[in-house]
Amino acid sequence: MRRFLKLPFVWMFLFFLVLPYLLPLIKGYTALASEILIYAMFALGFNLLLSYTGLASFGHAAFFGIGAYAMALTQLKLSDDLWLGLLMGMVAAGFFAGIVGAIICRKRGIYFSLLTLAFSQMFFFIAFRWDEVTGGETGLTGLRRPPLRLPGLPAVSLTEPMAFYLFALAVFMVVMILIWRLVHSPFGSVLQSIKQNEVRAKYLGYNTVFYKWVSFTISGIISGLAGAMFLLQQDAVFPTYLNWTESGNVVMVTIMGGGVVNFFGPILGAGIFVILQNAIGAYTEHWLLILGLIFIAIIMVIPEGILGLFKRTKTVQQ
Amino acid sequence: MPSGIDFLSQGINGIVLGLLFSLIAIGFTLMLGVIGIINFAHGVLFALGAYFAFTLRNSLGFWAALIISPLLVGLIGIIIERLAVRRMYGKDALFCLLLTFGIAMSGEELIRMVWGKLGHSIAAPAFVSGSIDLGFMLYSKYRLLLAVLSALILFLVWLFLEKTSYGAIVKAGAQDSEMVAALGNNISRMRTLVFGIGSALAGVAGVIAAPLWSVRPGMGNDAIMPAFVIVVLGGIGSFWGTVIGGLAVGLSVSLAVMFFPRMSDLVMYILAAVVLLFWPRGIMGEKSILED
Amino acid sequence: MPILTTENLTIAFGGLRAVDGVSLKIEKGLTSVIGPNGAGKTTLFNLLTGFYKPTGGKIFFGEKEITSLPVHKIARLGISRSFQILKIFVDMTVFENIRVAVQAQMGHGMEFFVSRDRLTDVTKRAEDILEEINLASKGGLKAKNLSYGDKRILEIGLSLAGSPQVLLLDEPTCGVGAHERAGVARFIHELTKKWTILLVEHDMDIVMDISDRVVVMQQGRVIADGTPGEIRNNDTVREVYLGR
Repeated sequence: MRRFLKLPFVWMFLFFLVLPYLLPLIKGYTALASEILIYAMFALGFNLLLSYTGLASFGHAAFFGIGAYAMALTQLKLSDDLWLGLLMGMVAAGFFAGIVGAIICRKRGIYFSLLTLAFSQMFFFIAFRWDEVTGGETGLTGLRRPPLRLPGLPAVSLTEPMAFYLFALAVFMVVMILIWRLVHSPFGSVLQSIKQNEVRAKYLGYNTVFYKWVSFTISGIISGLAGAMFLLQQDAVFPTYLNWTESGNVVMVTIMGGGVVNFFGPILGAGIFVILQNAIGAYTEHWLLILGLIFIAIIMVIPEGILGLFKRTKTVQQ
Repeated sequence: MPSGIDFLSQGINGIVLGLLFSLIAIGFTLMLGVIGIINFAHGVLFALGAYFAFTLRNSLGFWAALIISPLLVGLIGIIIERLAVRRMYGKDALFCLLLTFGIAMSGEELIRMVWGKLGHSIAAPAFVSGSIDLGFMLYSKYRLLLAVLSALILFLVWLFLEKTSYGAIVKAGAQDSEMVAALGNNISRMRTLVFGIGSALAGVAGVIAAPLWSVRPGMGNDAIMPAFVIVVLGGIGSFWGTVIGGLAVGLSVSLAVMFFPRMSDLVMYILAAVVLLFWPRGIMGEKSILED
Repeated sequence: MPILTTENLTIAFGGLRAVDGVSLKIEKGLTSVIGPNGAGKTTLFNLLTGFYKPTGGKIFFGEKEITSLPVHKIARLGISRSFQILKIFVDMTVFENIRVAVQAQMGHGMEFFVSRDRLTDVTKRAEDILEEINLASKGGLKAKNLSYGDKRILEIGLSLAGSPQVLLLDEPTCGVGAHERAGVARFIHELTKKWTILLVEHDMDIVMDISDRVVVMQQGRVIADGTPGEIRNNDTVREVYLGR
């Protein structure tokens, strides 16, 4: 039984091991594969909130961006240790998610979404205007990828795309398995019950607001880690990382892949999104038009997402 | 240190801006309160209003553009509602939000394709070019016209909601599900109408704002975000909440420009966060079905 | 020592006093609250469980004052309720429904990285409850696929799972069709052997059959309080309620 459960992870790991060699077939490159992993991590963290807690955040790009800025600032002002940078990305994002969550976790439905959006815009403008710290509109550039240091082993350089990809894969696998365990833990059950009927969950004795806050904060921490990883990938950070369109994208990616009905949906969605963005971008500068139309089509035709579609055909057959 | 006159002039600017913000938000909050949807495309509809006016003004003049552009935008709104948005009714509000997010994304790009990537500045119509002497200071004639027009249109919306039977139905739609049930099939027509009116209001705000802010493909973002904040501030679906919220945002932005210019973009979000701590549903908000 | 006591409990919505100066002592056994629609029965439940804050009066659970405590704290103390409008977790299986309820009572909520399948004490207890409510054979079904009568029973099962000291049942037979009604009634009857229950119910046959005591409410006030026999013969009650 336990071996069986772990099978999807093994397959996924093997798939991602060969992905960098498959991507050139569709004009991709190794860095694109890293981007997929990082975006998938972001979407998985977001989906913890959307599908497993029932909270539709429309401001998650803020925590992604905060993670990236924290990593950059750690490197510029403190130390260029890889682990410290990643840790700071998570701490900073978790800190701000904790504050925002404390204010808004009592709110429900659309109101919650509106507020996440408003708060994320606040962070966006801080990043945009606070030139001394964030570099303002031009962001922080020229950062570098510190080498990977593990105790007892020689430092490994991550500057080669493939080396960084393998590092990202390791981080991704750890994060994915942790989130998997989280949603299948007793805590995950409570979140599910809150999603399905919050009043009842309260009547069972759960302090639902607190649970939602914890979920929000964890989700923020994961987003921050993804942001910090993205900084390493791009060697730069811009205020646009925090913009509301980015927040919308992660919602779309999660829904598109079928995250609402399947744990792995956000990963599929992230893969499609990053590849599409790259592919359409190669043909036309108006790729936003195409992307927007694809979003519209997905919401209208398969609102349950691509993996949800499989579930639908399966149920029909039964 | 800013002088009294500076203070006064920024105060007046704030009120002018506030009326414009209220006008931008009123259509948005109407859709949210009455149909229960967040329309992310509101900003694009606003931008379309401005661009239509930009194109029409050369041949037809300001007043014709002021009438025709919003009608065109309203028509586009109705088409969007009939083709796409109506399929989202009854589903989770998130889906409509994402649908209109997609529309906003492609809409902005379409504007870029049709009118080009770069912005254009638009001169105020000749009869209001220049400034007027208010006795203690000179003030832009166009800004005054903008304030008067915004207030006038807001007043018309109020008249429609409060003094016409159709307005009563629209208002009831937001609060009274029995009334909605009694309407039967007409509810579908009512929603289309509200979506059309909301879009036209976004369009007219765009026409009026164009000479002030100039037209750019991304200008919708300057409209949609204040609209969100004003709804949070004023309360979902509330007319007076929207006006108060709009003025509060306008004034705080203008005063911030004087004291902390770099925080002028930020101040409305801070305002919203503070208000929310004291009025959880916004200043005029009532408990809403949208919270479930 | 009464299990639940209210002193002059009052709540007003605008001008309407939905519950108006209610003083009750709920003892062991089954107490039914009856009264016409709008009498304030469900509002009383909402007050007792902390869902509404009273505008006046006090509530005691044993000797402890629980007025204005939040819902989840009152639930943890041992006051549980079922709802007239079903509040079950429709997308979970019947077993998962009960399990998450048991978890709450056993304090397994903040465990992040344990598999919930490994909490054997929780699983055991959940299985016992499924036996008790006769849904053991349907444990693997999604709650939304149950028959309506079984959903009603699951609704009650969720409130039992926390082993409460007092159980508030709000119209447990509401909407149950004739063919399933007897089963649900028998189920409630079974419960009375083990639990202290406060019951709101419209079916007078059930109420008069199984109650130890009946409280009659009208327009937010208690107008009669006694054994089923006394209530049946109470003139005021006949006038406003039974005889209509």
